[in-house]
Amino acid sequence: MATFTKSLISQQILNQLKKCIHHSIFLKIDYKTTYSESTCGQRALYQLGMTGIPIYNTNNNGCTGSATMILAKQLVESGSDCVMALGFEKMERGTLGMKYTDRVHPVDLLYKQVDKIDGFTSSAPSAQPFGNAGEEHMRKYGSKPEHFAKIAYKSYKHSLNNPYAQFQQEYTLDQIKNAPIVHRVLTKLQCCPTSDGSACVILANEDFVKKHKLENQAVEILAMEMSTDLESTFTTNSSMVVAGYDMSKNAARKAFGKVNFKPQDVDVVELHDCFSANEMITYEALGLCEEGKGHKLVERGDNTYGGKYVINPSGGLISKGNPLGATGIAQCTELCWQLRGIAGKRQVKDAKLALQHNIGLGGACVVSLYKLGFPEKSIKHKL
Amino acid sequence: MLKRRVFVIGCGMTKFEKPGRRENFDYPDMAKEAVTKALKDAKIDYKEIKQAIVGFCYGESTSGQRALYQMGMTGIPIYNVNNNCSTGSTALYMAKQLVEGGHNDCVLALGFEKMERGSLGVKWTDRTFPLDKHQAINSELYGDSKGPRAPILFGNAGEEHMRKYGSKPEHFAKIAYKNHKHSVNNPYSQFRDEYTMEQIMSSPVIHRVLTKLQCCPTSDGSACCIVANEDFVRPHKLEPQAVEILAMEMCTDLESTFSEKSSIKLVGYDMAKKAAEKVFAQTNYKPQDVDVVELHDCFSANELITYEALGLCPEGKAHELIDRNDNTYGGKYVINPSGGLISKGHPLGATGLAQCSELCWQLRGEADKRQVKNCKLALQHNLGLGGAVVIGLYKLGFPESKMQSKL
Repeated sequence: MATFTKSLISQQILNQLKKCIHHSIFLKIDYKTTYSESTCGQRALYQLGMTGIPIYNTNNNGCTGSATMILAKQLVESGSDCVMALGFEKMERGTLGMKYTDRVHPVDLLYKQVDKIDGFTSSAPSAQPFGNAGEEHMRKYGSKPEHFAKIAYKSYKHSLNNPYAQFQQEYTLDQIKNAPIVHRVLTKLQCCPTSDGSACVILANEDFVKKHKLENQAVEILAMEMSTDLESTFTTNSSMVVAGYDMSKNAARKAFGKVNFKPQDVDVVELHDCFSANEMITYEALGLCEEGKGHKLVERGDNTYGGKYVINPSGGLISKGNPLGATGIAQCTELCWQLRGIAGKRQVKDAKLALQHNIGLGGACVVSLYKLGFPEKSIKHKL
Repeated sequence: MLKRRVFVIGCGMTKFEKPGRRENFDYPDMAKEAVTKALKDAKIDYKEIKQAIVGFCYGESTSGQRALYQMGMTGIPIYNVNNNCSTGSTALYMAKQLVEGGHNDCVLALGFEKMERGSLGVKWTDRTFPLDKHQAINSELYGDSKGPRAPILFGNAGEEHMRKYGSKPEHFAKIAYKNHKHSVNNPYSQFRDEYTMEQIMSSPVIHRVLTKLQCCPTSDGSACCIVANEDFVRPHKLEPQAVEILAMEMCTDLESTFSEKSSIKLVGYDMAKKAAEKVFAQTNYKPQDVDVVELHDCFSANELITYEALGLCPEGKAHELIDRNDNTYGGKYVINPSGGLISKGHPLGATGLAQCSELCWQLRGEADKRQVKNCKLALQHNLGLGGAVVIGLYKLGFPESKMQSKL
């Protein structure tokens, strides 16, 4: 059974949604946020109506948004015709902290690895695995600090055209390179901020799409796969693996294994650039280029308009922001707009196949592939 | 769409304990114990698990991975879920649906809670509290009360039942009396003490009709249930122990929770009623066919009103069911043979899975001194304010194979 998504973008659709909720027996809603008291999902959704539908609250660190979506997708596949996936985050300022100090922290073993391989420092903890990964990439493959900075440069440039982005500002390569150092190759302008925000997508099956005449906007989820950590995360000597490389690679392998497409067929990508270094290594994990050649892809400009792929047209986490529960869903939203031809000034020409990558240390990674469900029925809007 | 049959093939749990009583017993340790027991019960390796849902309320994100990675790092999808006190059955309900969907033949549902001592608190004080509307309605009806919010809400529901239907404090106390008595036979129970009615009624007043011995404690603990489809059960020869989930439904609050200005409705009566109706509608059974029940007695008052919500008796007649002793051995139903939340304990993430475990043991004839004779049909009710309720109906999947395995 194919699964489709449509994004909530207008009051018209909101009204349609309310109608659906009231009339559909099988509508179920998933709600995810990482930092909150239990049943925040209900508190948020009861405002739309108290229809008694099942509501689940889930979390998976940075991967929370797409973990929500993969649950919603599976619920549609197991019989519910229309399921909502909602994510939000109201974050505290400053770097990510801990609420529970009387018990083992879920990422304690991960940071033991960080310490073992690179030595734990006084830099922001969330930046360390990724800064170390960047350092390893340079040592192993010959990439340079400029390559990492260029990724951030590209993403800020993209965000100028995104009214949803937390920052809509360009920076020169020098400004990015010379910004305060956060950890090793990562300067401040190569790190995503903390953010408040929310995003929502609605998933449905083919019967629902046809009944509601939504073929023209229905984006099909061709594949959506989750991987958690493999043994390598704790046995490896590689900082890149500690930063989630093998999880990303495993999820991508599973996703592409479900379709007749290859990474090289992809047109547009939204991936998890919590830090520029993660974007670099993720090019390789996703198979967009060969292992060790991420910086070559950057040099060729194959990650932006005019190049082979447009990666993070939204501005990515670095510029768009990263409210943990919402990010994965915002990525999907951007890709849907791209495929539907309604991405405004960010529009990637002829975007037909979209790839999403969302990761959280702890951990989990979800990789997804999308294309228009009924391309012959689609209406490409032009500004 | 033809729904696949779904079975619980293995269960395991820790003995529930007062928070912090066991040394070096953090949530990964609790989880490891429960999961190891469940895998052993199901006679399978962790490698056979295709996805896992982990329920807990209090903990940093990805605590589920931290707990399960000890069993093996197989890369399977792991989700962390919560729904206040119905967290455990939320995990179970999600697992059931993942198996029903067809892509997974075997999914693990784990719940744990490492609780702080004292009544439930608030970690995030800079944002709307999810139960703010519940508290506002409660204040409208009864004025502001000082003290822990859960006993206040349920104590007021008890008060309303007495006023509306003529039940008496003795009826509520008798529920607690029964549950404490049941727990004497439960080695997993946090408390295993009997009390007289006198002792229960004269224990310190917590709120209105609720005295201390009528309230569940906070607890540390974990429970795990493994869910599988028929294609998995058969090659593994698990027919004798496979318990079928005949029907399972979740319901969240209806408009009436806030609009009817009733304490009974405020604590989830209507969502329990609706979920129960949906469950029975999917089968050929009626509530009166049920033999054994595990329901959410966070407070005796909730057990009382839940008899009515589940349809075990007509609305307003729960105290008559109690008078008839139709909630214990020798009566029409045995309700909370495990000792319930009141005596067994209530680690939020684990409770729903511990309820399922007890019912599976009952149906499998493995409940030892707690065994309900000839029990064939089991009913579960797990509720969390905020909220959500999950109702499940169970029976042996292959009763003829159970008979054969006894010969």
